[in-house]
Order: sequence, then C-alpha cells, then structure tokens
Amino acid sequence: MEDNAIEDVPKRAVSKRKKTAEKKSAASKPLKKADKADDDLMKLFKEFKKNYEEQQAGNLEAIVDETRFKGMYREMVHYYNESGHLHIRNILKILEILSAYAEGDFSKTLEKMPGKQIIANEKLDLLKNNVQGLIIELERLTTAARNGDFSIRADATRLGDYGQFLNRMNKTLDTFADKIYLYEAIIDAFPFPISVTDSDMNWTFINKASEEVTGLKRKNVLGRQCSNWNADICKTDRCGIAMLKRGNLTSYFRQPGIDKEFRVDAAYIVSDKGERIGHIEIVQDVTAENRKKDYQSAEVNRLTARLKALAEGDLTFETDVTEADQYCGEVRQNFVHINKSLEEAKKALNSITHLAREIASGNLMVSIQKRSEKDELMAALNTMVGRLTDIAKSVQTSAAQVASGSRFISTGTQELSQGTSEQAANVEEISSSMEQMNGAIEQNADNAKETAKIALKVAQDAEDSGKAMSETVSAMKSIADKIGIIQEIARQTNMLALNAAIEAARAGQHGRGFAVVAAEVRRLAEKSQASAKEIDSLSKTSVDIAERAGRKIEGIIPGIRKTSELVEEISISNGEQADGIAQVTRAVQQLEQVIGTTASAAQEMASTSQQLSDQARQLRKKAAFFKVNLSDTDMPESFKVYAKPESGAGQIRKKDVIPDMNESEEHDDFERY
Amino acid sequence: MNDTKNQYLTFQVGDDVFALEIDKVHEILTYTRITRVPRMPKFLKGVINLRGHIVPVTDLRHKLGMVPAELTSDTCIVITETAIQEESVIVGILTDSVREVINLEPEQIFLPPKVGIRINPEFIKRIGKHENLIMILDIDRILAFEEI
Repeated sequence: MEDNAIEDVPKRAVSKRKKTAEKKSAASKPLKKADKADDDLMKLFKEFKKNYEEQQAGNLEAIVDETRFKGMYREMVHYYNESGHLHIRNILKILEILSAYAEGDFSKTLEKMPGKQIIANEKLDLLKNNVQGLIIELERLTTAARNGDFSIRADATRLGDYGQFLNRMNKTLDTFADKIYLYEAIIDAFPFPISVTDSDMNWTFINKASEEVTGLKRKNVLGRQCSNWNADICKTDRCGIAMLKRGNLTSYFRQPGIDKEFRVDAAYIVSDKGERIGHIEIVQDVTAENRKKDYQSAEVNRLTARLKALAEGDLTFETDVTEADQYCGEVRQNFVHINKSLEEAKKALNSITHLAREIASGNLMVSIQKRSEKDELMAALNTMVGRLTDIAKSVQTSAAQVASGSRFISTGTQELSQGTSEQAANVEEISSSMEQMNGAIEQNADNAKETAKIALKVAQDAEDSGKAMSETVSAMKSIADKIGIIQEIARQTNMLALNAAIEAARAGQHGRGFAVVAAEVRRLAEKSQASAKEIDSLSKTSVDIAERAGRKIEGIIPGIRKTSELVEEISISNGEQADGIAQVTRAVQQLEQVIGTTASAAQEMASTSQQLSDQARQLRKKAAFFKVNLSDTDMPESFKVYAKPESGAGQIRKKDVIPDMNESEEHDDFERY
Repeated sequence: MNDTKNQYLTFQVGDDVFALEIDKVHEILTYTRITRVPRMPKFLKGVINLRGHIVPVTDLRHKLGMVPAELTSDTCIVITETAIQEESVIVGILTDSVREVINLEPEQIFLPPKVGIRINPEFIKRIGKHENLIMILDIDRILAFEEI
C-alpha cells in the first residue's frame, strides 16, 4: 500500500497524499512515530538508489527531488544534489576542450583546474602537442610523396603510441616505395612507350621505351611539359591529349629522325573520388600495320576496278600486282592468288565470247565443254546450240518444202487459171444449152397437152370397144347355146338312126331298105354333129378371144386414163422445169461472175505464189547461214555429238563445216525451181 | 338270119373298140340315171327303168379291169339279151360311146391270140378286122362269169 503511495508522488501533491494517508490511518489503525522515521529513511534510500541508477545510465544532470522531503532529510538531499553538480561542472569543461581537440581545433586551452585537478590541464596540453607534432610529420611526408619523393621518413622519436604510429607509417612508406619501384619496373618492361602526365600536361612518368623513342631521361623530364616529347603532333590540335579532350582516344604521330609511324592511345587517369587527375598515353609502333593497310587498300581498289570491269564485260584489264616492301610480302601473296583467279575468269569469259562469236557467225558445230560438274553456263550454252541446230535444220527443211510447195502452188494456179477459162467456155455452152432446153420444154408442154387430149379420146374409144366386145361375146354365147341344141338334135338323130339300124338288122332281110335309110340318116346326123361341134368350138374360141379382147380393152382404159393424168403431170412438171431452168440460168450467170472472180484470184495467186517462191529462196539462203551437221539430223538430242571428252576442257573447237548443202535432195529441188 | 350274123354293133370303152353281134343287142339308150341297189355285185352299176321293166346295168370297164370313166353326152347304155342257164336275161351295158353297125365277113374274123392282149381272153370271142382291130365280146361269158 505504501509503495503505491510513494510511486504516485510525482503525480500528486504531497499534502494531498499525506491527507489521504492520515485519512487511511485514521480509518484503519493509529501510526506510531518510530514507524514514521523508518518510513522516511526507506523513502530516502529508495530516492538515492534511483538517482544512482539514473547517473549510471548516463543522465549526469539527474537530481533527487528535495521537495518530497522535509527537515533534515530535505537538507541532506540538497547537499547531495549540490556536491554532484560541482564535479559535473568541471568534467563538462574538460569534455568541451576534449571535444574541440577531437574535432581538430587546438586553439582552446583548459582553464586552470583547482587542486589536484591541475593534472587535467597538463594531460590535455600534452595531447595537444603530440597530435600537432603528428600532423606536422604527416604533412611533411605527404608533401614529399606528392612530389614523388618517397625517401622522406617521419621522426618517430616521440613518446608512446604516437612514435609507434609514425614507425608503422614509415614502414608502410617503405613498402609503398618498394611497390612503386616494382610498378615502374613493370611499366619499364612494356616494349611500347608509356607517358603519364598530370592534369596540367606535366610529366609524372615516362617509361624506358619512351626514353628510347625520345632520347630523354625520366629523371630529367618529370614535372616538365610533355610537349618536350617533340613529336610532330606536339603543341598542335592533333596532340594525343587534345584529341582525348575532344573525345578522340586515338591519334597518330611521327617522331623526327625515325622512319616510323606511331599510334597513341590516350586515357584519363581518374582518382578514387572520380576526379580526372592526369592522362596516360600509350604509344605503339604501327608502321607495319599502316603500310599493310595502305598496300591492301591500294590493291583492293585496283581489284575492285578490275572486278567492276569484269562485271561490265570489259576484259581489257591487267592482273598484275604491285611489288611489296618489307612489310607487305605476305599480303601481296594473297593478291597474287586472287588476280590469278581473275585471270582464269577472264580467260574463261574470252573463251565464251569466242564461242558466242562462232555461233553469231552461224557456226553451230562448235564444241562446248562443261568446265566443271556444276558449270550451268556451258550446259545452258550447249542446250542453246542444240536447240539452235534443231531449229536451223527444221528451218532449212521447211524452207525447201515451202519452195517446192510454192512451185506446186504455181503449177496448180496455172491449172486453175486454165480450168477457169475452160469453165467460162463451158458455162457459156451451158447457157445456150439452157436456152435450147427451155424451147424444148415449151414444145414438150404443148405436146403433152395434145397427148393428154388424145389419151382422153382413146380412153373413150376403148370404153366403146369394150362395150361392143361384150355385146359380141353375149351374141357368141347365144350362138353357142343354139349350136348346142343343134348338136343335141344331131346326137338324138344319130341315136335314133343307130337304133333304127339295130332294128333293121334284127329285122333281117325285111329291114334292109330301112337299114340303108337309117345308115343315111345316121351319116347326116353325124355330119350335122361334126359341123355343130366345129361351130361350137369355133364360137367358144371366138367367145374366149372376144372376152380376152374385152378384158384387155378394159385393162387398157385405166392405163390410158393414167397416161392422160401423167401427161397432165408432165405438163405441170414442164412448167416447174421452166422455172427451174430460169433459176439455173440465173445460177449460171452468177457462176459466170464467180468464174470471173476466180480467174482474177487465180492470177493474183499466181503472182503471190511467185512471191512465196522468192521468199522461200531467201529463207533458204538465210537458213543456210547456220552451218549444221546434216548427217546428225535424225538424232533427237545433239549434245553428245558435240561433247567430245578428248578435247580440252573449257575449250571451244570449230568443226569442219560441210560446205556444199546442194547435195541434199530438197536443195536440188529448190535450185531447179 | 345269115345277114344278121355278119352284122355287129361297135362301141368304144376307153381306147379300145369292142363289138357285139347285132342279134344280142336290143337297143341303145342315152344315159339315164342308174339307181343303185343295195347288196348288188360290184360289177353291176344299178338298175334302170326301161319302159316299165327293171333292167340291171353292168359296168363293162369294171369287168374288163379298167378304171371307171366320167359320164359324157356320148355315154350310152347298150341293152343286150343274154342266156343265163337257158334263160334269156336283159342286161344293160355301160359304154363310153356307141359307134356304128358294121358288117364283118367271116374272113375278117379271127381267133384271138392267147397272149398280147390286155383284156382277159376268156371274154374275147373273136377279133374283127375292120378299119381297126375290133374285139368281139362273148357277152354270155361276161355275164355268166359270175351270177347276176
């Protein structure tokens, strides 16, 4: 409970707390005086302990709150706080001087401290002297080093760690100097000149190679202007450093008295802080390189011109190569090889040109060899010559055929002309014949009309005859009937006479006279019978004849009628014929015109065929321009004829031309024509 | 009677001319219709009515082995009288035509040859020689050969 009350003190008024305590004590149990004293001591102890802990934590200005105490406790707290303040003030003064020294300000000095504290004054002065001495030594060393003098060493005779420090410093410098010499030796070992200058273009270093080139000595030139190199670019705008400043890292120069060309590559030297503190120039001997480059450039230019000429078909160029100096022998060899190839290409093109000239002059019997397996040009030329040969042959053949054909046409035309005039004569004859025919047809028509009349009359007469005939027949038939009766009578009479004879015979002597009569009667009867029979057969025959005649006459009638009709038809046909004849006459007139046209056409054709013949002759002459091997005509592909393996590769060989084309039959025809 | 013996009636059957003694002949009839009688012998053609008498008619062609002939206007029936078994019988003979009554003297009559004649010689009594050869028929035999 009490702990809580004390901790609350900073937040509440003491009096109020007291009152609360009193109220509490009054409410619970009465407090004794001894207990109160113990409580105050405990409170004090706790406050001191708390202050100590704060001081220990670094809060040197922390104090004990004396208002929480009364009486003697309060005073005790007051002195405790004052005593602490006294020490702290002195310490803060020392700290102020120390912090000035620490920051490098040695202008202040500590006011004199009381009593034993005077030692603080002594030690601070010592510190000041030592540090300032150290600074002076370092300044001396750095100045010397800056000037390239690494031989200076610090005075290490000072006390304590400072002396130690300077010793170590000196040792570091020794090591550093060794390293510098090592690097110098390394740079000296480079075979090409290296020059190092500061930002004012004063030399800070040149290596041995530089000494050799310039004839200068390093020890003499350090700190001097680099223009003392004495190159042709020094003090000009082509100076390596001037070029570098313009952004060009490379420049070239010549050294007077030396027949060499140099290249200089310049670069800035940059400090660890990024500042440009100088320049380094590295020099290389580029004489060989440049000479090669120049030589190569010149040769390449010449080669380019030659290749251009080759491309343009100009083969007059040379293929020589410029003699080389000591630097360019190897390069020259390459150009010699290239030009040799160029020479071969030139030769090949010349060969092809020669070949083309031969073909142009009509010689198709040239030999074309492929120069390699992949030589498409020669293969193509070979094909071309083969095709040209085929064409030339077929043209020659065709020309001959056209020539003979035109001859046939000419003959045919003459025949045609002759035929046409014959036709014209024939047509005239036809025309007069047609007129005659027309007259004949008219007469025919008249005759036909007459005939028709006669036929009609004949038909009538025939009909009448038929009637008469049938009447005759019926009369005959009636006669025959009558004859039959006579015949029957005769027969009966005969029979009676026979029977009378039999009777007479049977009557014997008495019947003799009767028998004679009977026999006589019988004879008469027989005669009658025979006559009747004769008449009968005659009449029957007559009837037959009359009937046949009647039938025939009847048969004639329709014939005559038909004739009459036919004759009428003939009459009509005659009319049609007359029309037809008129048409034929017109056609014949047209035919006459056509024949006239044909005759003039035939004449034109004759002259045309003459022209054709002339053209064919010319064509023949032109086609003969191509010299081909006619004995190869039957060969479909003429390549192998020309590809003779024994002849030289890539060479063009002229074959013997067959001079006399007249040996061929067609040509004979042509010539005769 | 002697006169009658020399007289013959000639008639024609086919191409041949036959004769009958005139006293065997009664009369000649023009052909009249012959009535066929059932069950009559084949050589009989039938019967005719001769003025009230029934007279059988024989076909001489059949008897003589000839083919039957067509009827013509000359076809006649010769009425003959023959004796069969002592009895006189009237029979008609069908002939193609009757010719005439002729006289044949005995010297004109010959015996028929045994061979060389188409007709059965038994029916031929004699051969008469007139303008042609005439076969004189034995009518009794012909009619008696088979019973009527």
